[in-house]
Amino acid sequence: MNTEHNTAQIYIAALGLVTMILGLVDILVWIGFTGGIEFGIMGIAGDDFFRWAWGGLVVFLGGALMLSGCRNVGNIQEFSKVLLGAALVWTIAACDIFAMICENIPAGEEAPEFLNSFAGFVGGFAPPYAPAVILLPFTLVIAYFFYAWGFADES
Amino acid sequence: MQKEEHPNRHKRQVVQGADMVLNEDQRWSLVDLLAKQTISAGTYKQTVWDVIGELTVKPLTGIPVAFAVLYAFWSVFGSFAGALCTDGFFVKFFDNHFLPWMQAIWPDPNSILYFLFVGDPLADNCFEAFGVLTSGLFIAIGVVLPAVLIFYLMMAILEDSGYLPRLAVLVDTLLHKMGLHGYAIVPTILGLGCNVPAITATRILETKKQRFIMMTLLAIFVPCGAQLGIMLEVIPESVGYVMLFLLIGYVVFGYLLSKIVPGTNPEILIDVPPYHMPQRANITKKLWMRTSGFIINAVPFVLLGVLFINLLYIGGVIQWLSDVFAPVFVHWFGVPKETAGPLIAAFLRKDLAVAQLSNIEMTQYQMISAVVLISIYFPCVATFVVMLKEGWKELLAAVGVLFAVAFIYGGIIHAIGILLGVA
Amino acid sequence: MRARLILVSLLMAALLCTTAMAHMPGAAPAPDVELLPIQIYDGNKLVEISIDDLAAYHGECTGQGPSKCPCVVIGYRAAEAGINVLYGDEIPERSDIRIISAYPSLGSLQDFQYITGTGPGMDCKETGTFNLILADGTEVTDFSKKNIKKISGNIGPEDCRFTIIRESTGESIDLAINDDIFPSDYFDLRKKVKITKNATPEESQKFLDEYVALRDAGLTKPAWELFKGIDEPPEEEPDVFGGGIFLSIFILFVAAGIIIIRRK
Repeated sequence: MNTEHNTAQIYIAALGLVTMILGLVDILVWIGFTGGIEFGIMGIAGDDFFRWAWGGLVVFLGGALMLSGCRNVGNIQEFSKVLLGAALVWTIAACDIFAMICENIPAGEEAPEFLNSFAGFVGGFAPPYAPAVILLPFTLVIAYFFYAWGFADES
Repeated sequence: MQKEEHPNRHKRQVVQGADMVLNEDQRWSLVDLLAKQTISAGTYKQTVWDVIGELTVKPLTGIPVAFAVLYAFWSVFGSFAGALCTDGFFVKFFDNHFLPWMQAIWPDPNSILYFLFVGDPLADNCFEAFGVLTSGLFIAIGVVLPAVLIFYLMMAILEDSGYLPRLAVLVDTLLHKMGLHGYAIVPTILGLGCNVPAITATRILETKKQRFIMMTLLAIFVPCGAQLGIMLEVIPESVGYVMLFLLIGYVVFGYLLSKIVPGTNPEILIDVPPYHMPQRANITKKLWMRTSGFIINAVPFVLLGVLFINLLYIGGVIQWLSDVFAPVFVHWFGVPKETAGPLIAAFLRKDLAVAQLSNIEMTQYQMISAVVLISIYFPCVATFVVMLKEGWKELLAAVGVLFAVAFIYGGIIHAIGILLGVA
Repeated sequence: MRARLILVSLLMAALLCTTAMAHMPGAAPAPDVELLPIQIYDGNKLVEISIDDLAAYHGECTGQGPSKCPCVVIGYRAAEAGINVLYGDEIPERSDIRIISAYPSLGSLQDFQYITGTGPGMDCKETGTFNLILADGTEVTDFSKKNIKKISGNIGPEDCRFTIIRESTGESIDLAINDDIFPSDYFDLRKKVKITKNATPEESQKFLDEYVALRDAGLTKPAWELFKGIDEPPEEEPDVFGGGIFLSIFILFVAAGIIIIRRK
């Protein structure tokens, strides 16, 4: 167990905890139906069962998986759990980004034309973002570990 | 001891073939020689993919992954088919350009032909017009085609990446309680695209009992992609509840059927392949085969279905049926009697029926009940034909079960609504 | 004694008939819409006034169940829009609000009485001001049903105007109903159905249809479509900067990912 692994363990533990909390908040906002919360560039609308309850549960479980594997990340068994947890967050984030792309290509429902203007398209990606999207760059660090620690070479 | 028997048998052959005798040592050195040339030794080292492959089958880690995969499946389905294709493009094209054009060029709005092919001359959208060339084309191309396309793409990726067999292992415990085994998940998911290939896929189940249960459940509780696409378009806020009712029905009636239907339910034995990147060529081939098959099957049915329903309306048949069945609909199911028309249409195409429902005024809960009823009450005619091919006795039994289930479940949903105070 | 009883019950029946007309039997139920309640401070107490409160108060004053008749709806929307323009995000004191209406209808005037706390049967710490000043400049102080009915016999859409004033700063806003809100024959039909009572069944049905459409428009249309004097909020400019940052980062990551996977 070298120092790099030690630092990584702390990082992954913290990330897993934050992810779990954010997933829980997704679900709580949906249950509470507070009409959504915004915090900086992060926004949780909580208006839709599928996105916030189900999606929030996946984020929560992703965090839990990261946390469960963080004790001994040098071990391939444990690291796989962490990677799987990160992959759950990536799934939700990728779906959110895909949804943004799909929604921003056509013009609004009232507009006569079919395609959105370029400014409208780009502007559609403006904040706020769902927690999973914000967690995305932080969880990509785990993909870096995957390559840096040589797990990728064995496959 | 067995080891020694085999070389002996070989020995006789060698003797006959080469006219030469090898003693035991010589034989073994020959084996060593061959082994050295053909086998290279190495150590097995577990890779991350192997571990992840195991993790996705174990319940504790596998169920979160299943949640995520199904989430991604439906999220991509909704974004692509709903937001991008149907809402973003086809609704606009059909309502703002195609429908006014049809209404302008088709002569004499009072004629029967106009009613059949263009529909309501005052309609300003393709859901309400209900003509063969307006609603028929809109539903077939604008709603159902994108839904089916993206569904089969996702399905092909799931199959080719090696996830599907793992899902089968994962859900095996639950499905065994319903008289099925894990691989029943394949027809179930396929059925969410179209029930026709799903019925065919029930052949991967081993016993008659399993096939019968699966077919019945497919026909009753699994809504097809066309129907999902329409539901997403017409009642986006209630799709979740409709699916919930269907899922509960799937599990509960599966359990009941497994108790009633005679026969055995053997254990699952499947080969779980390692994860790998899907090949583009395979995906496109599968996608093309399934989608084109669907277009050939579905589009004529949608167009003919609209025509047939319009003819029934003109002939007064629908009116007569809704009057006859009004007491059942209003008092037992708690839905308006006008829903009789869509229920007749549901035999041809369930997606058409849901589209028709959107034009009837009712509360959200009535809408949910009506859509659930339409989903469970009868397989569409194409599914009917495939089921007939699998055996007419099973078909008759399935239809019997189906009417019983539709009647009971419709009443239960109404009762739940009354208890919740929403019906 | 018996003669008196009959007389009283006849009178009550007559009364019930007129009020029942005000509530339009046969009208479809109002659509379920979420209009934000008006928030005001009554002393230190925050009071939320929703359209349902006003409908209930109107029902109380007219002696029957709550009703979202078009007048109640329009009065509420005018007060809501005016307070919104004058106060923005601030929450006004009840005593700071003054409403002047030129529209003699029971529904809207009871709305304003309720909001300003000047109506009968209200228990408020403070009160605002409400005046009913007709288009010809005469101020009406007799808010009895009989009197209002008498005055409202010849009103038209041009009378449907309101002024909301923020007393502390002297700011005010004039709201007049938009020309396309009332159908052109609405007030003629209303007179025939409700006041002179000589409407044919067809006219009654037409009035009922228009009544429902008007109420639903009042409940669902945005304020700038209901009233002259309110500007449509400018369309939100897309946040190209924010979106651009996200997109560039996203494309960068995707490109990096592709390069890494290719190299492996």
